[in-house]
Amino acid sequence: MRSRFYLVWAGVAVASWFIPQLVEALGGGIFYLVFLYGLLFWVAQATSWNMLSGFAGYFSFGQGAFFGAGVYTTAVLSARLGWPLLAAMAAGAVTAAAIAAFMGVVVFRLRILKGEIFALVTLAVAFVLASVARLVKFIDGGQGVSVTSLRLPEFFGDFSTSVYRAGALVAVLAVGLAAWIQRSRFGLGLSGIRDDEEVAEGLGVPTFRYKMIILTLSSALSGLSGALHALQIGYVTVDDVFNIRVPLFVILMSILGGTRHWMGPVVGAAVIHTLTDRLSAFGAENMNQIFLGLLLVVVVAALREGVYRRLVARRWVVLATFVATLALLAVTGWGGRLITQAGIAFGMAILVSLLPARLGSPAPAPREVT
Amino acid sequence: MLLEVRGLDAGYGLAQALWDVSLDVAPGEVVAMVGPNGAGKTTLISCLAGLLQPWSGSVRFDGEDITKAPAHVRAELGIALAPEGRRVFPQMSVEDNLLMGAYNRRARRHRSASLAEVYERFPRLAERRHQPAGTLSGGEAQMLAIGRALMGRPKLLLMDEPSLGLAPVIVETMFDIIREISAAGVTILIVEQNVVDALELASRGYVLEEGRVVQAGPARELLDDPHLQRAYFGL
Repeated sequence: MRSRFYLVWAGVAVASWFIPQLVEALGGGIFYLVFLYGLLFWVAQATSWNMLSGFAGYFSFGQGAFFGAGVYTTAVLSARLGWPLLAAMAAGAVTAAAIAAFMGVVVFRLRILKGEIFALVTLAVAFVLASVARLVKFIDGGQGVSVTSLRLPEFFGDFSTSVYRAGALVAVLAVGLAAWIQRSRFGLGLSGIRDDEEVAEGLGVPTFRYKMIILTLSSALSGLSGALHALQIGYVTVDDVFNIRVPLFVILMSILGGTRHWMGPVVGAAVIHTLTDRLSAFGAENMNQIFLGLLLVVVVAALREGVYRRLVARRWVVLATFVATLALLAVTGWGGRLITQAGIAFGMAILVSLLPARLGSPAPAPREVT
Repeated sequence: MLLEVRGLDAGYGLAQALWDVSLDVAPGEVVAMVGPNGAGKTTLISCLAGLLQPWSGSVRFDGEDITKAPAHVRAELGIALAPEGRRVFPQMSVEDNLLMGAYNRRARRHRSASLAEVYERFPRLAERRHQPAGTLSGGEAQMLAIGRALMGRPKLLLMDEPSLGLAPVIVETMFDIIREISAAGVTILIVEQNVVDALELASRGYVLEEGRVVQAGPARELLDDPHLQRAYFGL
């Protein structure tokens, strides 16, 4: 059981390594790799957020702080101090985790800092980090940091391929870890903390230790993903890194997909990234926010358990819709590029899963604990 | 003594809720701590479960000083809490709630056997095992809270107001269940506002008023006590 789990995730990692070859064989260009990298970036970030805020129920607005710590640590160490890139990236993850751990020791010791107060504290940490970066010349000082000359090791392939592959590894690591946690005794304890922390503590869950572990893990993953992202964006500025985009998007994605299952953030990231990417491609960037806002309202109002549960409950209908729509678009040629067609088919599949018809109501899936 | 509490002072912030509370629980006993709303009963239970650190005084369990031990350590030692009212994990299934009860290492080994026993004692929970606990009725939620505590294979079961918010018929069922659990050999400290039912169940009782123990003795004697009868039974 355990060994099969590791095998599956190792398989996913290996398979994702060869996606660039597949893309090339199918005649796709760099565009697809950039799209996929973006998708995997959001998968990693949303999964990281969900470990803390979904599994343990500590709602955080601080994703930008951990992400930003990863970006800036890597950028400064590699571009200014000449560290090897991989060492700088590792330092990015460690710095994010250290900041989070420091925050956790303070916040989790004081039991009153829960709920809204915790969310506000995390937001404040992001603000403080942004100000520090802006003020300290050595870090940024308002000038930005250029990391355009940095490259991943040769065997990762050319620039776009290498960034995609590293992004895939980070995403597989994050999602695999989340899946493992959900099945574990640790994950059961986190569910208890989310539902009623005091009772969970009374039943034997070492709540302080568990919260510290999940906060540190979550922020390390976010920092690692941010470290890689520094490479992708090339020129790092405070306004681009510490804005509301990352914290807002990870929350949207996780809630849309569902916060109680590790697949939730993955599905949510796929939906929102595809949607925003396609809208931008059609020059409708301004529509993004309107669509996202509407989507969130619908999800929060209509299905609190998230899209993923619905997709699973109606998996055959959903799959049939996806295949049929894609086939129709491919035959008629509507929609243009394959990626748009796939996006439309995906959207149709999700719409079908959300229909309130009696196609099978989602039952609460029994959890397995190993 | 299984549990020895001496001179406990406790409270929240600056507000003291308990003054010099002492009590004993011997193995196999059912002890009732009764008193009106706001007497400090839940504060006492929180101190015993380790959810609240007392200001002064000592708590000994099974010969060991646990005054400073955090709650999860006490669970490991064999103290289980059945909290008041509907404090189940609402989003988790009934079965996951029960599995949470066997979270500590000692109880975990007997998890499957404990689960079977709890389902046998509470068939209603078995019927609803895959349902989110938040959808249970008040009585069922209380059964779940008790069943979850039993999953921990406790040496001492702390029960906080098991009759709170339940219909009279269900309260009677609940006390029958507690009697059965006690007959099965579990030591119980029950904290109750429902003075008569609690003292009829218990072998010994303490009366808590405004944070102080004002009376103590065999439950029979307390039931016949003129002061208590005036104060609680309206006689």
